[in-house]
Amino acid sequence: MPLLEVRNLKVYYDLPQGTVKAVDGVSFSLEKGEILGVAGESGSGKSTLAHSIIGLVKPPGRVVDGEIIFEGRNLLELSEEELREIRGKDITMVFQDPNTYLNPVLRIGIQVGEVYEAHLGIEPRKAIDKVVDLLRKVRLTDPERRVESYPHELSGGMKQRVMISMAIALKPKLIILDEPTSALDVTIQAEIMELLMEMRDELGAAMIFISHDLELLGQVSDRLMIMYGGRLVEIGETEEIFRDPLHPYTEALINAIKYVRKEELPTLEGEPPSLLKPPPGCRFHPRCPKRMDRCSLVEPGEYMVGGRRVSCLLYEEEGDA
Amino acid sequence: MPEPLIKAENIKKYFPVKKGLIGGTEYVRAVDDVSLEIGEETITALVGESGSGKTTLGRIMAGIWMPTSGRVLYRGIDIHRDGMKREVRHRIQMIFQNPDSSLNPRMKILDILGEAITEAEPGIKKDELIERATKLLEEVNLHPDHLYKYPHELSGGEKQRVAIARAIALEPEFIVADEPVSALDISIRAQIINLLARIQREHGIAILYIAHDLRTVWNISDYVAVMYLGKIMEYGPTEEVFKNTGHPYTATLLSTAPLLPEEFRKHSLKPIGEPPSLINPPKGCRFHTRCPLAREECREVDMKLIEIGREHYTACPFWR
Ligand SMILES: Nc1ncnc2c1ncn2[C@@H]1O[C@H](COP(=O)(O)OP(=O)(O)OP(=O)(O)O)[C@@H](O)[C@H]1O
Ligand SMILES: Nc1ncnc2c1ncn2[C@@H]1O[C@H](COP(=O)(O)OP(=O)(O)OP(=O)(O)O)[C@@H](O)[C@H]1O
Ligand code: SF4
Ligand SMILES: [Mg+2]
Ligand SMILES: [Mg+2]
Repeated sequence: MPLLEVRNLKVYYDLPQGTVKAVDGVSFSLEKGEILGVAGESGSGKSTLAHSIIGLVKPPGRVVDGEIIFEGRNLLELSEEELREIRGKDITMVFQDPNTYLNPVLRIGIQVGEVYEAHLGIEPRKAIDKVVDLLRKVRLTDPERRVESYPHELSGGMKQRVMISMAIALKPKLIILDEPTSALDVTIQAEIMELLMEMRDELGAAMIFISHDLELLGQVSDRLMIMYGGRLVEIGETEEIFRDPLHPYTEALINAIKYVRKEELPTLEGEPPSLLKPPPGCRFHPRCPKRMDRCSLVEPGEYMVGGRRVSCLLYEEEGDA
Repeated sequence: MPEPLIKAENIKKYFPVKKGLIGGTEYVRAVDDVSLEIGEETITALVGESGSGKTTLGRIMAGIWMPTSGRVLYRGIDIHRDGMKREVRHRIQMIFQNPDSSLNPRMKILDILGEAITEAEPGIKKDELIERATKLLEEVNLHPDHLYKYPHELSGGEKQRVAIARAIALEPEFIVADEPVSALDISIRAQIINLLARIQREHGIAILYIAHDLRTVWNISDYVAVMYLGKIMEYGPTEEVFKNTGHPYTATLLSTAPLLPEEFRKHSLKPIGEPPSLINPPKGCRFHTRCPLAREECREVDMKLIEIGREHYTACPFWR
């Protein structure tokens, strides 16, 4: 049994202008200890997907359809009480911007300690030794003093270390990372990545790693999922996707990170699709260099090609996934 | 080698900073005795981590900042002496990382370009000016409709195209482009790099291309200069620097780019610890505190650039 199985998930936002189909029929599964990279341009639905797994979709958003099965239980059918037990303990999340998550008026020690209180019933003050150990583990310098600090006294990199400490405190089975390093300086990025990989080796937790930096995902993920306009367009082993991308959008992404000397860099023209009124047929067809006449008429299904699932009419012959 | 178009000689730029509470002044040695030559119609990339002095050197070579000492010669003319002569000023342009701060938000694109056009040709007639501005927009693949828009009505990529159009309005021979794509969305970067490369070719411009991203450096540059803590560590033809890397610091930079082709990777190294301060930079080789290959001599001996190949120099005598 996989650790997590997402089936035909649909998450929409109801806006005055219409319905934004941010995640529109996405299915995938995740094994224990596996790292799944999720790539796709801005607005493709990556964060919405992450929020729905951890039960953080708020109005105007709503989960319209699908199942999210974690260790055999459908998270979408659990009570808020049951969910709270899983969230923060078995499934945790690290956000791009720690500021939206850290409480500016609470000392770091108390905030991190709250994790122990919520799930183990240990009072934050009594948990302080545990917190110091934890902060040391994420290599925050001077942890004894840092527990007394407020968030604004910490740099962006340090705050992200605090976030990671909370995410790993209770040895979760799944950590969802939504652009955990995008807001940081390049050199700090590398350090945080190193820390994350160390933590995963130590904990053996599975990870869903969201980023628009394909190069980074290529380094850290076992499998890769590419999203476009709320849809999954390709999923498979990272190495295979890098070697031989099947979907024309994946191919464009991979081409964009290749080293080419003294000739035009490959570009992808056009704009991301509107999710209020997505293009008919294949959502990628207006930008697709390999588009056929059918592509604007027929919505591609998902087809199995080797070990990969891909949603493009070029592979229609291969049979449904 | 033919006489270079631009020659920076022993440039130093020290920024004064207040020292503690008791006062006194210390100096940030942002650029510390750098010489660099740029030939006509060539692209030289300037790389190095944040704070290494790239922007400072770029601004000095563009004539925007005065060096603390040293000089910059454009076709033999010292660009910092006696104010910059007009014809020299026109021949040297700069493109900045953030087009928002370089384009006046209260001016329409026509007026932004018009300013440059009239600077080159005072008294130009209005209809001729519009024609010229339209042509410039065409060159950077923008629709003439944009002439009557304000910068905030344009996307980041479009604004950077306008900045490029303005720079070429004065028919420069040398452009300093300081991280022109770093602030843009990844999908737009390739388009702007392609545009810069085409403009450079068609107009025969020399460019100092300041960048972090090794992929674009590999794509467009002819030469690479690698800076660390205010000094040049390595300089040479791009292919040489990537494939026959001459300095451990360059090797550590190369090892940060995960998708680098195998042939660039043979010297991959990891740097140790954090970069030191520019106020009291390390003696000897500036990189010795972080160099995985440092020896005793590296702490003491001031390193000079030595030639290790055709036009290829390194400040490390022990590497290779
Ligand atoms: N709270 C919200 N209210 C309304 N629309 C939303 C909300 N959150 C997201 N959306 C819309 O849903 C779509 C998917 O957004 P989402 O944030 O999931 O994308 P993303 O792939 O994470 O993008 P990014 O790379 O920019 O983080 C977008 O069209 C976005 O505008
Ligand atoms: N006007 C100034 N006053 C004081 N110090 C300055 C000034 N401008 C730059 N510096 C300092 O000089 C050093 C070099 O800065 P510079 O901006 O040239 O680096 P850089 O290589 O362009 O970095 P980045 O990659 O971050 O753009 C830095 O330590 C910086 O703080
Ligand atoms: S279905 Fe057609 S338009 Fe869509 S990606 Fe495949 S070839 Fe391109
Ligand atoms: Mg997001
Ligand atoms: Mg700079």
